[in-house]
Amino acid sequence: MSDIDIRQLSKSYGAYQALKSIDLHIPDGALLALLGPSGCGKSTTLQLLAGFDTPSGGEIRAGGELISSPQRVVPPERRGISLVFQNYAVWPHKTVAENVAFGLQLRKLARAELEARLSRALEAVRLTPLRDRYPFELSGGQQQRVALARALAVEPRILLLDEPLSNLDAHLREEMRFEIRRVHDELGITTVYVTHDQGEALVTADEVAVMKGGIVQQLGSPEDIFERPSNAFVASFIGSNNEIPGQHEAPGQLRVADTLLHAQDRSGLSGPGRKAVLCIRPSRVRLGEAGGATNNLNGVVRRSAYLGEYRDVLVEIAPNTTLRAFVSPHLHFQPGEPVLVHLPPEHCQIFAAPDDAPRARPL
Amino acid sequence: MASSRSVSAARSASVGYRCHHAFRLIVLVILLAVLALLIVQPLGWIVFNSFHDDVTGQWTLRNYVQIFTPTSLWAPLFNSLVLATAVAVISTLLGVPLAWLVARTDMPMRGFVRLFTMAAFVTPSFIGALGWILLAAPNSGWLNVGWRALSGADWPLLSIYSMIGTIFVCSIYTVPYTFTLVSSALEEMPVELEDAATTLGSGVVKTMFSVTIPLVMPAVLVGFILSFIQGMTLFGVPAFLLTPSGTLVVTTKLAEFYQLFPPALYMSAAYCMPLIAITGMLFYARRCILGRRQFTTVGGKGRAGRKIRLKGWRLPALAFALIVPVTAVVLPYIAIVLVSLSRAWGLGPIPSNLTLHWYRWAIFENAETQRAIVNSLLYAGGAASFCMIIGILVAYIVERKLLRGAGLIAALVTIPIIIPGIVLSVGFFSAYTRQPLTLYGTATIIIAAFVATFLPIAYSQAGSILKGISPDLERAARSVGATEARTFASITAPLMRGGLVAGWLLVFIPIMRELSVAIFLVSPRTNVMTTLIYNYKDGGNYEAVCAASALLLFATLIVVLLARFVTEGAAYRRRNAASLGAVP
Amino acid sequence: MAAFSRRHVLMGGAAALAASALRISPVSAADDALYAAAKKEGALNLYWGSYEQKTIEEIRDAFKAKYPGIEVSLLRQASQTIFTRLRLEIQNDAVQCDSIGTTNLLHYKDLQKLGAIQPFKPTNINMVPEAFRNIDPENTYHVGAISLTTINQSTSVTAPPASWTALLDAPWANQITTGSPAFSGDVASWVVAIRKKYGDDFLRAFAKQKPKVGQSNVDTVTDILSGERKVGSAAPFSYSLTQQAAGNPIGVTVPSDDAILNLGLTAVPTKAPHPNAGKLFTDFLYSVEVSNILAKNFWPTLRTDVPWAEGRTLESIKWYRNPVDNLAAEVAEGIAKWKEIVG
Repeated sequence: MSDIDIRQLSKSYGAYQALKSIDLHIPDGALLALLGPSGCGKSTTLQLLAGFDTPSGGEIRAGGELISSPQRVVPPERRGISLVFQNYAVWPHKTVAENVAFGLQLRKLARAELEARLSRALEAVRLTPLRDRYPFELSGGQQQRVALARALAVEPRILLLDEPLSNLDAHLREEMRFEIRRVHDELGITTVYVTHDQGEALVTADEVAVMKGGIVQQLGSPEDIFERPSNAFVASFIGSNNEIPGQHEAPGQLRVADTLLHAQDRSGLSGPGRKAVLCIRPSRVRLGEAGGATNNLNGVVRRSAYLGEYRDVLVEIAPNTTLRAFVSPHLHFQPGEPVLVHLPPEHCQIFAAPDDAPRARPL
Repeated sequence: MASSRSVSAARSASVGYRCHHAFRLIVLVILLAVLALLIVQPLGWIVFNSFHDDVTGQWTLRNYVQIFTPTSLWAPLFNSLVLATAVAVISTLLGVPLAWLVARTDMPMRGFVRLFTMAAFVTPSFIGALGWILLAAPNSGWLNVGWRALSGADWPLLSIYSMIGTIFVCSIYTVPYTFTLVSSALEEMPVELEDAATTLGSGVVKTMFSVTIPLVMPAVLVGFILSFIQGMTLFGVPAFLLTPSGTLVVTTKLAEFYQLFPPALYMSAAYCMPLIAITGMLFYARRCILGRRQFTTVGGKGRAGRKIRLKGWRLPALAFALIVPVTAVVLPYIAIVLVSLSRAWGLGPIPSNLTLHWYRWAIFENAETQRAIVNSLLYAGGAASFCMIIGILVAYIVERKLLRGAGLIAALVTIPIIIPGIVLSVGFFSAYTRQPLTLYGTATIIIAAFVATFLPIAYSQAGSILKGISPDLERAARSVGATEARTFASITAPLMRGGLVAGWLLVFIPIMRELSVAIFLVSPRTNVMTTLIYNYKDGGNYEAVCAASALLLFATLIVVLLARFVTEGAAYRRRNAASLGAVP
Repeated sequence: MAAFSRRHVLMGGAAALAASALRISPVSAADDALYAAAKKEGALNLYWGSYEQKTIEEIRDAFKAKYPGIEVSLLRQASQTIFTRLRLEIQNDAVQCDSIGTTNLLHYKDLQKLGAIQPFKPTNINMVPEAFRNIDPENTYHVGAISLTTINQSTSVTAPPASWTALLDAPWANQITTGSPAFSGDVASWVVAIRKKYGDDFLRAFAKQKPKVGQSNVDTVTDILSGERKVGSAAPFSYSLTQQAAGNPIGVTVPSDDAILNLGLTAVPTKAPHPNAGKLFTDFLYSVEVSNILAKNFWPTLRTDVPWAEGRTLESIKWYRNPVDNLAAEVAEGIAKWKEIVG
């Protein structure tokens, strides 16, 4: 096992900067999720980690050893880093056992040792009964487990997972999330998990790095990321979110239309008049009650949908400004009905408006 | 403990780093050296020669001045362009639907059509021309004789001694390029893509034109370009069919240069340079047409594939599909076999004139023919194999972008195919008769010339196979510890296998029938079938020519069938299996 | 070569003469020395364009039978290809050829100019018809084949044209097939001869007959046998006779205004790897064995004492041979005129 240390890593393709100097440290045995929309640089980071690409700047160390820099890239096969691909990349001309055993055969192990490790790997992903099947005889989930077993069998010091679940159907995906976490807990391999699905990231990861535009926007525990996003992008990318634009009045105060709202200020802005946004998750919005002295607004219900576990209500709080609230399914609202809206200050956060944001630094 | 472990890991990694790069370097250096010897050297000589005077041997620009001044040198170039363009268009119009019918539909007799289209490929074009002279010469051609007898007309139905006749004969023997390339691309294409269109209410024909053909566009374009080049470089057909009308094309004009005193070899070299420019433009056009579109999508599931039901169109489709087998193989070979079975072919196919003498003579009695058959098979087999190896390496480097400037290598390996064989032959002669490479008179020089000439086909075939194999399959192997070489051997090569055999045949067959590139390189010991057949033709021994041609066809067909037989088993597994590892 | 004195050569010739009278051909004294030298060289590479594959193979086999111990390789290609190849070999200093035999005098003029062929006097040269004995004063090249260009016709033609001028008569319009002087040396020398005899008027009248112009003069036989055309002009005499003998419906007419005789020639390159073997083969060409093979294959023989097939002789045929002095220019002019007038 080993930790991973990424310093000022950047990568350009011609004029396009895919990675703009990122720093990350992944402790030994941790599972880090790289989360972000497509084009955010997460896959580039993974390719650089795996050794398939040469960085334009910065370096990557694994267990203290320099494995990637613009001058020197240790080839993939010498890194002890296994990669599981989005499209599984299971070799179609080999059986399940042959796929998994391939990496072991390269290590010239004794026959008994090889067989033992093969069985262990197949067992770990519960594929033992299917060991002599060819890939075309397997379902997508089974193929993904072959890919996982193949990567694990060689006992890598680092495991990379590239959107491993994105080709599976919803039900399987949910099951495999826990499967991956279980395997990680069992083996404790330092793991980097690339995904665009926040659910996957939150369930599986010890830490999540949210990326956008080649920059790490925030690095933190799933709870940090969800509860204390470092900017509006992170807040909106993770879970449902309301973004209410307004004027920054003073630290902790934001003016929306003619109402002054109080909130935790994470904008880093000083002085009044700058554009900012207030973020609050729909589940924290209260309707029909004045919950406190401040942050009360008068709104009009525009839409109300019953979703079984909760009711999704769209409220207009100012001309052209709406927000969503998830409230108890037992509350009834009719479109056009005036309603009192309360935004609890402890759940409100102020961020600089996205186009006005100072360059975020990773935490 | 932890620190010693990381030290040893660091050491092993840095050793790997060096080994990895050393291996890559060695392979690259060897490959570049081989390409330099095979292509740069001979081409260099051709270019060098083109700047020399045939009479004085001095440096001169006169050859080029001459090309660009008198109209007599423009006319053949223009005629060749007309011929090549027409051949490319017709081969595409015939070959693409033919490939689709054979690969994708339930048309009857698909196996027959496939085999006989390949047989058309096997036929040296001068033999095809000969067959068609027997069939459609204005006065004596059997088809014309039959036409006159049936219709009572006094004019011939077909006249083969014309530009149209030449285009026709060139085209039917060129269709197999397009056919092979497109049908193998179609077989790799997932059925769902077509199904999607059909379920949207698109008719079969409309689906073919709007979905299927665009998806195999790279193969269609390569087929078009190869057909065009074939039309530019064929010698036999225009020599037989256009000479009577006094029309010269580039290759027959080159033949005239070689008849001069002294032979205008350097002039010929200069005369080929415009051809390289034309081909360059074609490949550039292909890049513009294909643009940045990705075609790796070809390779989904279920390609073992259902066939599209033609219903009432099965017979009309078959009639269309039989055009090439009948016109390129059945009819001319009936004529050729009848001649080969004659004591004296001028007497016609009457019982008293029938004999197996020429076959007995060719197979058992004549040592020259025996040796030439063996040589042809050995050289074509060796050259095709070597050609595929280099083609795969180059394609791998280009497709996987292992080297900056890989595009340049790709362009380089593409040049030889456009240079008419007779000029290439001189280039090889110059390149391999000097110290330290004195290969003249050996089998090596012939194999080398064949490899260089047909490398473009091997390269494009290997490239299109590699395009269908996801790089992730290779990366997966690297990430569990396989070196680049091991990955290639254990993953890439086995996955390429089915396509490789098709590619091998695509090179093997044209080598079997190649004539002119060998013409200055063969020695008595290294004579091949085509040069021998051409000699018999030169001596007017048509019975022997036809018997030897029939044997050449027979020998090549056996190899084709063997190759298919060998791959059929592997293809089944691969076909089912490859669907899963492919690019999403 | 100083070893071979003139007396030696003459003696050899006399011995051969004596032997041929008896229809046997023992290895002569001169042959002995030459054979020994050739045997020491061990190999012989023939580059021949004169004679078709079958005849030249028979000649090779006879040579092998008579002179064991010499490994003979025969490269039979079209004359111009052979010549081009030898020139390439000379250019690249990689001469493999020990004996070149082609149908075109100009090849030898060119090679002579380059100093690429060596002078020597073949032992048996005195047996060849006088007219062809000393064709090169420098003795660098010698006669290798006698080729006649005549008219051939389908057996369905009862009254074939009896002369070149008769070809211009009305019945032969659209019935003539011929080769192209740009591709065939024999046709080129026919064009030169016909222009000498009748001027460009002949070509103009000939063009009006709308002949079918193929490449080689062999194509005339093809067209006649297939029935495409009835009469061949500038047609190969020997080859037509071979086809006739094989049973094909073709006949040959020697025109009253002369068959055009074209000499095939042979030489030993200066840098030949096995020069003695090359010379031995040249000697062998003038042997009775070879002339018998030639007669069997309907070729004019190279010896006065061996008659041609069917009892023909050189004397029995009216022939004409182009003067050689200005031949290169005349060939070039003839081809240009042909292209201009006939197409």
